[in-house]
Amino acid sequence: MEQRDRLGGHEPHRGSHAGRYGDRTAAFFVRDSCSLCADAKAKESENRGIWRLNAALRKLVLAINQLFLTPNRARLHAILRTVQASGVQNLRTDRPERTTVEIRKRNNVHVIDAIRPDVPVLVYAHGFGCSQHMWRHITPAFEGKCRQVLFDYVGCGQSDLAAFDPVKYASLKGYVQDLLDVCDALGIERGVHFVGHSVSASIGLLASIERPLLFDRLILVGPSPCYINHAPDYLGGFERQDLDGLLDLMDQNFMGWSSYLAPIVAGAPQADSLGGELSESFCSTDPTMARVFAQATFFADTREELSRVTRPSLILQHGKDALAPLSVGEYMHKKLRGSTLEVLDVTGHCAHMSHPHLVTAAMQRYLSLA
Amino acid sequence: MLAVDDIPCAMMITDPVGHIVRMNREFLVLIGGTEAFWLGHSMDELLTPASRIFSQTHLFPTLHHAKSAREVFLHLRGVGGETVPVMVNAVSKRLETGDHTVWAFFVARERSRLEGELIKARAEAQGLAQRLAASNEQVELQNRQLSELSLSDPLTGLKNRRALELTVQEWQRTASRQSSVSLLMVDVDYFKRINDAHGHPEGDRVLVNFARQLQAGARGSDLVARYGGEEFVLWLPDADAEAAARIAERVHKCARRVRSLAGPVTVSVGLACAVHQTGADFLARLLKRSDEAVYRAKALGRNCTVVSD
Repeated sequence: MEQRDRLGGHEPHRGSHAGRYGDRTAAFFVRDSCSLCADAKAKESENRGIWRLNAALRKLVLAINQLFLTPNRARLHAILRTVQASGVQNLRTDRPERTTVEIRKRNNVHVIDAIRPDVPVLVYAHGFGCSQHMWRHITPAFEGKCRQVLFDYVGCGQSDLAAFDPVKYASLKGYVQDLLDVCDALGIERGVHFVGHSVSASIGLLASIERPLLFDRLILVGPSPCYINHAPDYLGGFERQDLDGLLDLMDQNFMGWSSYLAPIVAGAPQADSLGGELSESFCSTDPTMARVFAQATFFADTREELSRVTRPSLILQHGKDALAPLSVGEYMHKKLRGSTLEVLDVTGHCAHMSHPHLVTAAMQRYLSLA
Repeated sequence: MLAVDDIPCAMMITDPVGHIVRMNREFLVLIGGTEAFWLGHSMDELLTPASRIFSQTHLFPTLHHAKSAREVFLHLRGVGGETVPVMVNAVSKRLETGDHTVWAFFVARERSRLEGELIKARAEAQGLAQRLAASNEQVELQNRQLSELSLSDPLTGLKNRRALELTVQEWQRTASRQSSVSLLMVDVDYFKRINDAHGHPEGDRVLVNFARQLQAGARGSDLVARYGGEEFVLWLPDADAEAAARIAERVHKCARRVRSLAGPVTVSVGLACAVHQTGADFLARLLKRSDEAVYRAKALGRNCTVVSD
């Protein structure tokens, strides 16, 4: 069976590569004896950087993180010396999760079923910084009338942190995949009413372009296709240096850090051992994962994709939102075919938490039109 | 009675979405202006743009969720436009006039400076670890390449004698007791004549061509090695005398396919079979037997196979 070879005209080995990991990237289709293959593997390894270090070295680096909690210069220098002295090995890659059970665990999926069959399906996607708990004041309004699906993106909430891949989740595509994986794992093929906050609005729109038949309507809470100003026509609200400042600020906050570090440092298998502790990591600034999500969120520009969306959408914009000027809502309304724009009389960026009744009312109005 | 203005800490009261209701003296010293001026403004205006984003994506959701937030690090916009690093505690509180949020700010300039250095140090450590990983990859790659080189014949690309020895040792260690093995020694006939008449490049070409034919016809478990100048060895595990004889016939066919300026290429083949043994001289004896068989093949007029007994 001829495997697709990413190295193109790599003639001598075409057809003789053995794929150990199914359809993973071609860098793992390496024949050890071939220097060309080995080069590609080395490059791929380099890109995956620190994530392929052995557990001991990861512990060391995370121990440096721990120094933020108890600053101690002497300890820091000792750790740096150990880092220099230690040998480094590459971890073998993880098998991609594919079964329903694996996805449910990986993305901490919760389903609030309705007793009646054939009810509409609501899939909620949380925004940057938080987790599925942000929807807890919205879901009661739809209990019994809809089947409701909640999940955490990998790296957020109580998702399986071992599944975090800094290359995959560096772009919104990785999060789109999570959303689609969750729907697939639950056997949902069509009719999804998607509810997405903040960056999840963009993620939902991208997902609907990839799988238009899966989605019925999209409800976008506080959306923005691009946070950066592109003068003179587009006002995203921020300049690049503002967003760089955000990443530094996140490094100096420790929300949800210790809960994330503890299992990694102890070498224990992930989320099971954490139990109730993770309720504190509703918001997380864990430097390795949240930073990647921040990068993906704030430097994404999905303006060109908007015109490719074919599903109808409801834009719920906050009246005074530091993250989205009113012009952003108007921009999206113009570009999204079949969209409805509603500006809520809300100051802030998370109406579904601060003014949930306004959001549920808007959703009920919009969905009962369907 | 202790008044809010006497507390040595910047304090503020806002409504649940951040509109300022009260500010103490300490706070006003920090950001300038008067309480009257700030009343009704959003606290967003006190923050840098990055802090605004962080406040809206982390701080306020945490407040809504847990009714309090502790040790949140932000940057205020100070009185001269400078950035003031602060640690923030906030709590939701129901006062007489309704739900409010009470804020306490601690200036954290020193901490911020130290953390800046630690963050840099961590980034360096990560960079270092990445470089270590990369150079380790390099070393492993080079080791693999060296290993390959030390087991290969540079001209033909076939395995060399050393590879043959290692393979035989491995087979002796892992193969079953009763298994048989055949060893073919293949010697190109009149090779010296090719070199003398047409030069070494032609001789090399013939060898390379022939080697390619041999390698193409080998099974997975077989080993084709260049043993000497014009000598090749075929190591055939699980081949008995009959199978080996068939393979020897194919070897002659391979030779016939090789074009040479000196005319048709033929080989003399010596074949030796043996049953699995663990002795250290097992290979040496096999080679000796097949070598003697080649000698007899040459004596018989070349272009034939002789089986050693």
